[in-house]
Amino acid sequence: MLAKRLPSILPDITFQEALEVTKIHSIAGNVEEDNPLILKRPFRSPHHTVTSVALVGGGNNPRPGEISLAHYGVLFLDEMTEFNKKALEVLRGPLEDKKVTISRVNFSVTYPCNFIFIASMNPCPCGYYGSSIKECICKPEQIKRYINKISGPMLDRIDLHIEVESVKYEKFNSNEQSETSEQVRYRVNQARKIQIDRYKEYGILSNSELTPKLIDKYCTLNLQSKKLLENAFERLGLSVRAYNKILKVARTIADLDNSENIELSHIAEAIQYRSLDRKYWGN
Amino acid sequence: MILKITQKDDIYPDNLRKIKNPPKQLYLEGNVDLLNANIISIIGSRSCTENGIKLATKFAKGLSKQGIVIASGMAVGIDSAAHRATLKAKGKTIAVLGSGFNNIFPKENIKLYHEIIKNNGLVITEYEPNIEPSSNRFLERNRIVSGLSIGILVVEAAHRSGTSVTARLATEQEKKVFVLPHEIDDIHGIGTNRLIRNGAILVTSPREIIEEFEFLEYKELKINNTNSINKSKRKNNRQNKKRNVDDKYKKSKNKEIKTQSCNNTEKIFKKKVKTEYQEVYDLIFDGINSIDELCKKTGLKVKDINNMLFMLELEGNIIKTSGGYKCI
Amino acid sequence: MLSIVKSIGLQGLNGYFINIEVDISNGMPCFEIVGLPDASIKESKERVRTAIKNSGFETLSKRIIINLAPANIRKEGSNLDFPIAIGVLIASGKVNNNNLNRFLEESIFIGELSLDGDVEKVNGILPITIEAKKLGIKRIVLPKKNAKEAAIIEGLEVLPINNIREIVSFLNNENNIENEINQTNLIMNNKYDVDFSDIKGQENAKRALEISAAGGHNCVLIRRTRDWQNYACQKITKYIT
Repeated sequence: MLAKRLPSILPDITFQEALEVTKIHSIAGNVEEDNPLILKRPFRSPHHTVTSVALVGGGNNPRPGEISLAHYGVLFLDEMTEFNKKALEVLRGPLEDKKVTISRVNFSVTYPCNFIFIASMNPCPCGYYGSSIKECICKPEQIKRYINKISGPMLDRIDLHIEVESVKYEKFNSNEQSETSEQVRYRVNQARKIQIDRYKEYGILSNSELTPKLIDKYCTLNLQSKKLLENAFERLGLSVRAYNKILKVARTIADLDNSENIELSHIAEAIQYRSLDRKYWGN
Repeated sequence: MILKITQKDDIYPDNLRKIKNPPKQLYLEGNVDLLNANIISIIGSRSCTENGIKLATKFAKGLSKQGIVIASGMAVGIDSAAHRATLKAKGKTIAVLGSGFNNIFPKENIKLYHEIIKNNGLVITEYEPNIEPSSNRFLERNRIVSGLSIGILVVEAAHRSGTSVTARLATEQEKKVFVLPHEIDDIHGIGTNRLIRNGAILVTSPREIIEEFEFLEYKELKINNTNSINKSKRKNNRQNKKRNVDDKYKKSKNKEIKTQSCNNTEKIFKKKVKTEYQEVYDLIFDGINSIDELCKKTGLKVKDINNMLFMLELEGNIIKTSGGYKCI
Repeated sequence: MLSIVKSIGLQGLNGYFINIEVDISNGMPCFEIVGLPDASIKESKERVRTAIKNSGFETLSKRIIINLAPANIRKEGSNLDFPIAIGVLIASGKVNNNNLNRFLEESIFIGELSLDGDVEKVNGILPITIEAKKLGIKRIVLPKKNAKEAAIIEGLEVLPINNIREIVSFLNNENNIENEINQTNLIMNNKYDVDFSDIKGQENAKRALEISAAGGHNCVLIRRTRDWQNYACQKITKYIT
């Protein structure tokens, strides 16, 4: 349910984007007769029994797969550990390149697949790690093995680790006011505008696409922040792969804060979203 | 103050020396004299019935009024009920932990742990302070629970339960196993009824337990009408009792070994962190772990809470464990 | 007689012309499709013949050869039913129109046929329309049910067709068919069926998703679905997250 609502807070879809999305969905036979233009960002959530072909596309005259149907939207893999390992492997390239090329003897076909990838998983084999209600009975090695099963390269393409708490029953009946998608989207739009503007010479549109060179240029830290980051790495035992990701996420948090420089608080928050990198995840 | 003792020390309980695989070391906090008292453990399932709680309460109260020290594992359910009932009846209780002192489990029993210490009880564990609880350790701890006792009372045990394992251990240690009967189609009584079939002693009152031991004598107690008792008299009695115990405590030989990882309980109480983080720190101390609840209780936004959690962790005031954030 | 009707095929999102060449001559009656058709195109044969017959046109006992050029690209699908039928009808003299050649030059035909002669909708119309425009086509003749989709693209005439008789009459100047005008709302209103406010609590996750949306960051949701405190929560947490 959380993941399903992500498209509603993504930046406003443009006409060009809508056209691209509709083109792909038209080939798959998904457009409505009376309202053919797709005005919403797509949300695709394939079941974990999906085959590699259905996921990335294929067939004699290759048709688009789930990843292309998620173009300009969200691809959600629920229970990532249940997916066929091969199927996950074929995702790596397209995730990186944002397009997938399917070759045949006489020709090849390229479909775009620029989506936000969300996966869900348990924290450990028994599913209780981090719970204050029931104890986790997994040994540290079991947990490490479990995390590694999800394949380093896949985790490498994930910038945020979000720990979701169990819902307490009272919450359902509460009359708490929650922000609407529109309110959140407003902030997201502002932050994206900043990014589009900043990167216009480089042909990228968002912080997630930053290359190491551009990270050096646009994610500079002051001395205090650098020290904090080093300290955090040591104390929390973060792995090296986390470094650039933390900077990218911190850059986004700073943009949401309308701050030109990355401050301590932005780094601190970014680090909170790297739970799986901690050396002691599993202790 | 937490004491660490090994088998070489005098105060290491004799009845533990005799069991199979006795603990190599013990960490003790509280009234160590209780190790020499007549101890009966009360054990039962963690997911127990209301009736189970009632029975555990009844027996704990009844036995402690006879001067018996009640031991249990401080787990949720029967164990906690037994400890609480003993404390209410002004008796003495021993809690044996399945983890180190820095990882009291479950968290909702941290208050109970403090109550036990405050009321001259004793808390023991064989594990180093930073060891976390686990299923295996809960089973291992049970051998200490039964090892310390002269007998164990099983209140409720379902079909396949840790409690049944403990009962078996007690039999191996040649301790008396007392069991409360249940209805035959009560799932919470499958284990207990099976124990009865296999020779455990069926009891229906605390008196019957006392009468099983030759060296114990059942004392008829006057029915206390709370209204008629002089309040000040009770207060005096309590104070006297406390003084006696304190004297005894001072007399016994103590070997105080403060290991580096051994945390002084007072430290946990009085930690002061930066003022802006104090509120969050205190909430975590009280066992509030979820970010949603921290937001709700402090009225702060998620990003601010996350910031504080990070800084508290970086400065070494809290730690992220397999049970969520904990204060250190 | 030879007739050439145009259509467009797709390889992925790229379009290429398919020229449906129909030649009818005397000789042993046959009806052959060549030009690397796959199994689905071969089935067109039956649909086309039956649709033509059921539309009231004579079944021809002549030698009918249909070539789908270029012959080196494999053709697939049922999209070419309609242009093949039109090609056959034109080649057998059912259409009299001086401007026919120009019409055929600047138009593409696309659609599936049902046995009674109705033109049925097909997939991929939007990319085909876009490619058609790029390739200089001025008009697309297609199933009525696909018309709104094609009409999204400006600068092309969209001729919606119900059945074969209708288009033949049109080509014979016996009736008039209105071009489809775009009625689709092209304004992005960003309205979704679901909303963030449906979720109560979960502030941490919502904040993280906001960051993900703002920067395009991929995420993993770490879910403890087995907190047993309330069995309902167990099920609902999974649903809710």
